[in-house]
Formats: sequence, structure tokens, C-alpha cells
Amino acid sequence: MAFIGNDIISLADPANRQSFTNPRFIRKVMTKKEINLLEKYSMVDELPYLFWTCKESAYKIAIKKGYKETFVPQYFEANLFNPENNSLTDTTSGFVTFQGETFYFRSEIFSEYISTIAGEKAESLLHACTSVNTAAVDEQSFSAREELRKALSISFTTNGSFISFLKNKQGVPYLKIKGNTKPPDISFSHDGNYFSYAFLTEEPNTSHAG
Amino acid sequence: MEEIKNKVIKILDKYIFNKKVWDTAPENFRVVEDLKINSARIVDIVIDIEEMFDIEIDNKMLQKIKTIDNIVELIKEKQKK
Repeated sequence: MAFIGNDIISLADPANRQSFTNPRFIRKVMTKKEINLLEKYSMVDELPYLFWTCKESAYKIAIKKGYKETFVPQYFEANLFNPENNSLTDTTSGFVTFQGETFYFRSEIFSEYISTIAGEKAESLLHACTSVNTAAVDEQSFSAREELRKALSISFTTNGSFISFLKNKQGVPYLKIKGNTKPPDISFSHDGNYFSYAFLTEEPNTSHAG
Repeated sequence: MEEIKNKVIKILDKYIFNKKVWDTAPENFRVVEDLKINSARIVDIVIDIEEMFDIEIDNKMLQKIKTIDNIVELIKEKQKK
């Protein structure tokens, strides 16, 4: 199975603002190379948040591949495909390296949030479907699953009641679709009022779910 | 030991959105799964612990932190040195 990982971060969240503008926090989570890029593009406020979502997304894939340790952000190094641009475009892509492996990512950058999806191969992202929405914190988990159920039932032409969301011992979500022996990998994320889900479609995805 | 644990719990509590998680948290609770604390806040917590106990927590130590007992043991070890 091809694995994916996604992450969303709210740029409006005061706790995030406080953390990502704290030099000590940045030194703890970014590699030297990333810090150099942050210094070089210091006018791009979203860059540390972007790097963070890339690292988190890649970590989710690493866990699915058997990595068992707690998330150490510095072990994951984000690289942009176009670092010479001094501003981030609405969609930015690149790759994350971790223990000799490379994961590819695509991020959507808005003034309120950044949403990233990562895959084991660059081509995987052509099949990636993501959606972002808002809900009260205690409703996000339910809303994300129900929205994903709808999207999957359309994408896989199946009845929503045939779709079950499960979690393994490590708390990693996975999917069962009645009558489908190869259900796609899924990933969930939430932060602040935002929640997002991601899955891989069978055919290349030319438009995003939301 | 208990004093360290109480101090750490006080730090953790600052970052918990829904305080009801304490009602169901086991004795040796897991910081991320049982307290529902996100990864960015874990880094904030590590920084707070470093400041409170005047220690440094490096990446090798961070990757082993899962439960409250892991954190207390780590602080005890660092304070010995």
C-alpha cells in the first residue's frame, strides 16, 4: 500500500503564533539548513509553519512504515523545490528527508492556514485528495470521518455504510471498505478550528476536494 | 519523585485544551494520546521543562518520551549529572 500523511496548521491560533515566533522553539525544531532558509527568507512569515506541516506529514508516513519513536522535528528536514523564490506561492512543493528516506509533499498556503500532504513518491501526490473544513474542536473528529466517508463513497463508487474507520495499536487510522481488498491509505489532521483529511484516489486526481 | 511529577503535571495542564482528559487519564498516562496534546505544544512543554528544571533535553531523549513516567525518569537522570 502507498502511504500518505497530512497536516494542517492554523496561522491564526495564538498558541501557534507564540511558538513559531519563539527563537528557542525554532532552534529546537528546525535543522541548520532550514534555519538558514528561514534567515534568508525572513520576510516569508509562513515558512516555519510550512516546514512544520511537512515534517509532521512525513512523520505520519514513517509511523505507518514501522517507525515507533516519538516525533522529533529535527530528524525530518524539509526542502523546497523552488527555494530561490522569496515568496511562497499558493501551492508549494518539495520533499522531506528522514533517515535516508525521501517523502514528497505538496502544501496549500492560505492566510488562515497551511495544509500539507506528503507521499512516499512524487507521483503519489497526483492521486492525493485532500479537504479542509472548520468545526468546533469536539466535533472535528466526527465531521472529518463523515466528510471523508462521503468523498470515498463517490471516489470508490460504494455505499457509505460499507466504509469503516479503524485505528491500529499505535492510534494510526486506517480504512476498510466492504468488497475492496485494497482500500486506500487515509490521514487526518486538525488544528484550531480546522480539520482536514486526505486519501489516495485510484485515478490521478486533477482537482482537489475542497 | 512525586514533587517532580506534580511540577510536570502543572506544566502539562497549561497546554491541555479539554481538562476533562484528566478524568480518564491512567496513572502512567501517555502525553500525546491520553492528554490529546499536539506535537507543537509538546515542544513548548519540553522548553518549559528545560527552564523549570534547568536541564537540556536533546533529540535522543525526546524520541523516547511517551509517558509521564518517562519524563520524570529523564528529569531525575539529568539532575544526577
